[in-house]
Amino acid sequence: MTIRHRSMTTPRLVLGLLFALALPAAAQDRPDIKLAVDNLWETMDPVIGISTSGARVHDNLFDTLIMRNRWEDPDGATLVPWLATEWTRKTPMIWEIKLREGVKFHDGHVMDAEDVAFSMSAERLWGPEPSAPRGSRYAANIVRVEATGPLTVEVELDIADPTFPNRLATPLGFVLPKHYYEEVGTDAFGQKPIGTGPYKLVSFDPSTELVAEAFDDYWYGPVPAASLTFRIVPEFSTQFAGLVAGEFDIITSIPADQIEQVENAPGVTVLTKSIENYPMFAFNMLDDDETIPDNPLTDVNLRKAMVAAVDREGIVTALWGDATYVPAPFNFPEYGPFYDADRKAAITYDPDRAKELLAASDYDGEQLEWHITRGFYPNYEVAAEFMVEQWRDVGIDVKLTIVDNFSLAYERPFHMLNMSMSSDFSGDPWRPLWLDWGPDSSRVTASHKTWVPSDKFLELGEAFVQAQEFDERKQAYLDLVAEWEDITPGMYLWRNVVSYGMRDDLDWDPGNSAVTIFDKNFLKTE
Amino acid sequence: MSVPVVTIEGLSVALPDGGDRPFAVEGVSLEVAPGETLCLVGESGSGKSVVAQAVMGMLPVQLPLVAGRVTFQGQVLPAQRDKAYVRLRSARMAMVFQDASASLDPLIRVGDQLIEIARVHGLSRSEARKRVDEMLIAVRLPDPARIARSYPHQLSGGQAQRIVIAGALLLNPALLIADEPTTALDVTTQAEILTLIADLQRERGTGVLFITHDFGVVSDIADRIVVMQAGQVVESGTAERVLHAPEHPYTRALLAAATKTGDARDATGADTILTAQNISLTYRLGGPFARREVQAVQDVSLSLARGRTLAVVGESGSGKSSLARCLLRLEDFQAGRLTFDGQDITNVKGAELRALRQRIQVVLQDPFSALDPRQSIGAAIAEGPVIHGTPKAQAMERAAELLALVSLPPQAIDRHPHEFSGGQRQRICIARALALDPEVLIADEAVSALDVSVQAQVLDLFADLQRRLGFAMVFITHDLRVARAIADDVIVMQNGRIVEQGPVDQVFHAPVADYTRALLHAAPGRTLKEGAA
Amino acid sequence: MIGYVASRLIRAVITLLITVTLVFLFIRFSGDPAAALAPPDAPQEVIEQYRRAMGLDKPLWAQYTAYLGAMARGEFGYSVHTGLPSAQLFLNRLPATLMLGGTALAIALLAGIPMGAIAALNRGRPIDRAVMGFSVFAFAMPNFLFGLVVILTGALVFQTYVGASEDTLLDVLPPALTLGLASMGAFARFSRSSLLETLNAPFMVAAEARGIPRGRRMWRHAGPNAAIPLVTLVGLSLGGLIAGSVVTEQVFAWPGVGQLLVRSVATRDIATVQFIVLAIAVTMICANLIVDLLYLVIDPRIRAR
Repeated sequence: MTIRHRSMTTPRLVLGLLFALALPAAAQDRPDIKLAVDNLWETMDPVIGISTSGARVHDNLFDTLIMRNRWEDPDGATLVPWLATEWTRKTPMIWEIKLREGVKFHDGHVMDAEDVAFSMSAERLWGPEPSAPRGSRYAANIVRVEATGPLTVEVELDIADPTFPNRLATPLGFVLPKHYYEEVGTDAFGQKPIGTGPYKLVSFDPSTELVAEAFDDYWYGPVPAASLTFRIVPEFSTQFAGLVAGEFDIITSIPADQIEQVENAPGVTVLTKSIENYPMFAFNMLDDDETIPDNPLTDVNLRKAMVAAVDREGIVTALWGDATYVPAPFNFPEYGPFYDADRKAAITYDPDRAKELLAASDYDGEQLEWHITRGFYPNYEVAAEFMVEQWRDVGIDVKLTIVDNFSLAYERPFHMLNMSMSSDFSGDPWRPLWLDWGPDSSRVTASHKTWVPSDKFLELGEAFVQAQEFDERKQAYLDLVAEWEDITPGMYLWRNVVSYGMRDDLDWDPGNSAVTIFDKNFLKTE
Repeated sequence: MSVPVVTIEGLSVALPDGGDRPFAVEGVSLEVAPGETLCLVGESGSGKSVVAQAVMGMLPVQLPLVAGRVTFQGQVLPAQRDKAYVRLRSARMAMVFQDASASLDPLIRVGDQLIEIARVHGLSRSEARKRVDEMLIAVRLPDPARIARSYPHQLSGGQAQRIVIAGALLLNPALLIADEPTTALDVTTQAEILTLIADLQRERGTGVLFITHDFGVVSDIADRIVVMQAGQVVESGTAERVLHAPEHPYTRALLAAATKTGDARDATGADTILTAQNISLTYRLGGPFARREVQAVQDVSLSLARGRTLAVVGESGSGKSSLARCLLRLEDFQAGRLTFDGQDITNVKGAELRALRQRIQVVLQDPFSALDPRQSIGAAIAEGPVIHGTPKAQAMERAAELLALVSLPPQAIDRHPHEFSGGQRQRICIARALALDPEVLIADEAVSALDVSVQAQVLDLFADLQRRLGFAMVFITHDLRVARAIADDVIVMQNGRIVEQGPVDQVFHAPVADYTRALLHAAPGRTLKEGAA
Repeated sequence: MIGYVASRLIRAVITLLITVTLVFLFIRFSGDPAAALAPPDAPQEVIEQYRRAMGLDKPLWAQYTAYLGAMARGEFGYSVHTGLPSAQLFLNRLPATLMLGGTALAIALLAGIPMGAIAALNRGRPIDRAVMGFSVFAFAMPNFLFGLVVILTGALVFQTYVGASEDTLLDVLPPALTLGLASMGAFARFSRSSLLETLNAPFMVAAEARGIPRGRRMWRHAGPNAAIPLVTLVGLSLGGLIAGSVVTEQVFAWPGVGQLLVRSVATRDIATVQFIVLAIAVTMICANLIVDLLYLVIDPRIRAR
């Protein structure tokens, strides 16, 4: 526990002691937790501030209607009631949500259906000019949100989506206090937010730090830490120094090549978590890309040869040890029943097969250019260099072009483009398969598009979207994945990794997530 | 005879190891009586300034006083650099330096600097102010109140020297040491300052130790003379005796250099190589808002014959150097015409101009900055011919010949400039200028930076080379003596205009313009020359 | 003198115009800000929406004139991430940077000048060589490296965190020392040579000959004359301090403008980058103008022109 001495006058000291004695024994030695973060979003509205830096804070100030159970299962494949106690599908398009009774906001106001309806409303999220436009994606297909009782809310969609409850565990599910938000307005709310979460805001300066203290009226108490401080420290070495010196209890996102240094420091442990994000690259398989006249990657044999030529398991073990692994396409543990530990990728490492495929292709030694954004995905460039070597071994010439930002990476010509797929959102592979590769995805529509889905892919995709029952949906999913692998428009590398540095004696585990929460499920004090 | 102001007996000051001699001064004895002017004469490096430093207690640590005694008004002075000197300086002994402007703090008004001298020596503010006001009048400054409010850079050289003298005599010291106080000044100003010092000295009975290299000045002011060479006194005596019956050969050489006059040469039958007709040059100065025009050269015409020497004489600011730059086509003058060897060169450009540059060469005042310190002498001399297409080996051969021609040893060819004295460097510069066989040589104050005896040697060299090689010369100088020694014809310039021109004898012996007469009158050593003639 | 002032002012305005134009061009030609702003896998229409909202769909010259017009009206745009005016983001961070830069400059001056003076007055002695050795080290040491050394030494050797933490005034000292180190070296070196030159000037010899006591010669005559060229150096070192503050703030987690700049560049927050770069340019231009005008006050030789 970090002890910081502040000057106190004697009367205040005495008063403080009296209060301390009056409090229950458990509350007395609650720690103050101080985190070093690389950044803080400028506003704490949990939808406007959707970002990695925001996600570290939001769940401590706010609650979602539904929670993914990461404290028992790190991948959080099961949903648990949170601010919502139950949810039912009244018709294929209409969902009814029952709310928990007596949940208090930090200002003492009791949460009701009006707050939930407001938080998911058209004016806030999905209307023509929403106050928090970054939420439109999560709120897609919602056409009506209505408080139908003091603790009952109805949500109507324009599609039949069996996965909708999963969205209530995303930022869409955060409940904000309607009365306070409307009173102070969007900007002021972002600077001085109020939620129902385990900690209430004390101070927030987007350029330096955010401080929150335990909210002792929390509905899911007791709150394990006396306070939380998120302090901006952009430079890793400085974070590290602060951790070693006892200034910080937790530091976030250790660079891959520094993990060993932190592990070797006294009094400090490293917590390495694989999270729901998958670095990969896409093949540019367009035959009408004017910047690449005779695009060799239109040939599926070349694409498959490239996948078969790379020993991803070997590279991942060399770079990450056992911190992460190579997934079979779209076979992700966070998808619960959709996940099949035994399913293997259609194309695996096999240099001989790679040579056969290459021989069957029209490829005759052209140099392929791979655009990579510098430092965006940990270890990506290092892995890429290994891969270039392995491609060379089978006779494929790939050149790495490493640039400083995404817009430069998106500039054609390129044969391969780095990207990553996140898997959360719907609780099943809908997002990574259909939202990220389907006809409306940036893979297909953006200026940096890389493919045109086959008719069969579109057909199978429609079937997947329409499927309402689990068995039917799972089969549709497997068919779609098989078609994806048959085309091979890209290649997955590994499951992304975040590494936290932490005081030895802190008992905290966030699960496989970049979201950091400090309630009693994640932070144990005794 | 009253007690001497200062008596120096057997003064020896050591030089640091590695100097060209063991002592800066050795066994020097002299004394200065109240009201008397003692001239300490010698070339630079003779040790005369070291004597002054020793009296002022300002010998640097590197120059230890190893023997001898300095008594001031019968009392032994404190040790060198002793704090006790602070009370003596200004109050009882004062010193003025060669460059008066530089010896004033540039950031402080000159009046305040004078008041400071009085204040640090214990005068009250009002006493100090009163004393300074009196002194400013005594040194005959026009509008003393305005000048007191001026900063040093706003004063002319003469005004600055008057201020410095005012400061030196402010507290009525018994001894004034003047170290080359007029060397940097024009002849007219020089004459005024010398008169001023003499007058003040007479009024106050100050003893003056006057340090100079210029026997012209010496002959005008000295009561007694001490001649130094290489740290030792070689001759001393009354002015009368030393000037008219010098015993030591060195004294005679210095005197001869000061009284040198030119050989009259035949001026007939020569054809013209360079003419200038009605040249005018205006400089535009300042930025876009503070434009100012200076008429540097106005309507100047001249003509130079092959093998002849034309001297252009004037004080600084008279436009003589600007004229030289016009003749070299380094300035685009606004009006007039230049002809070289029958060809109009007013507007030649490019290759033609480069060819012309080969035929007109220049030797500048400062031989120290004129040579690239990293270039060997041979390379410096051969550079011009190589640029103009001579093969390297041939150019180096020619450089060796030229070195012999300017009386430098053949080994000099591999040496670097820092290994040579000022006079030797000027010889190198001359050799370099002659490497391209020019038809005209323009010498801009080419001997002004040299000691007087070296000056005479270099002038002889110019004349000798001219006889042998037949080039014509334009000799720009502020020094009438130099002009007289070398020129066939003379042009006298004032404020950018020619005020008089003609053959050298005519201009020097029967000047027409008032300005020429004033210049000649102000030149030091008139009596000396008349005596010698 | 009026000509001098006017020409400096005009030069400042021209420099400013050139800077404004360069900022415009550099930001437009270093990648599409709309694409960078949208999430990495945003559909094309979202990117187009951003582009329209930011006026990036218009021709370049139209963007340029609109940009100049906005500058002239004092409208510097809004941060695309936060919706706050870029000027406000900058001003929020300014006090921290001013405190850091001011302290660094003060440390550099208060330590550098006396060091240089001591070295000059003890020329050739061991202390002179020590000061000069230190100044070379200080000048050559990259402040990123020095900052890390300070931070890590604090943590690993003294178990003390020296990055910015609570609002303690003393927190500014380690980053300010890091930031000011190079300037300190430069000041030490420069004031030594300037003072040496002044001590050997004829007017200093003359002052001694006039019986002015040593102390007074140093303070009244040598000091002010030696200080004049330092004014220029202080003006120039401001550029180094601003550049250094970007790095130093990053290393010490100091919440200033430099950190905001790094972050805004990384997120391609055009309005904020523009404003910061312009503010830095204006600061530099003003600093040079002030130096030029200061000369009028302290150096009578310039006043005369």
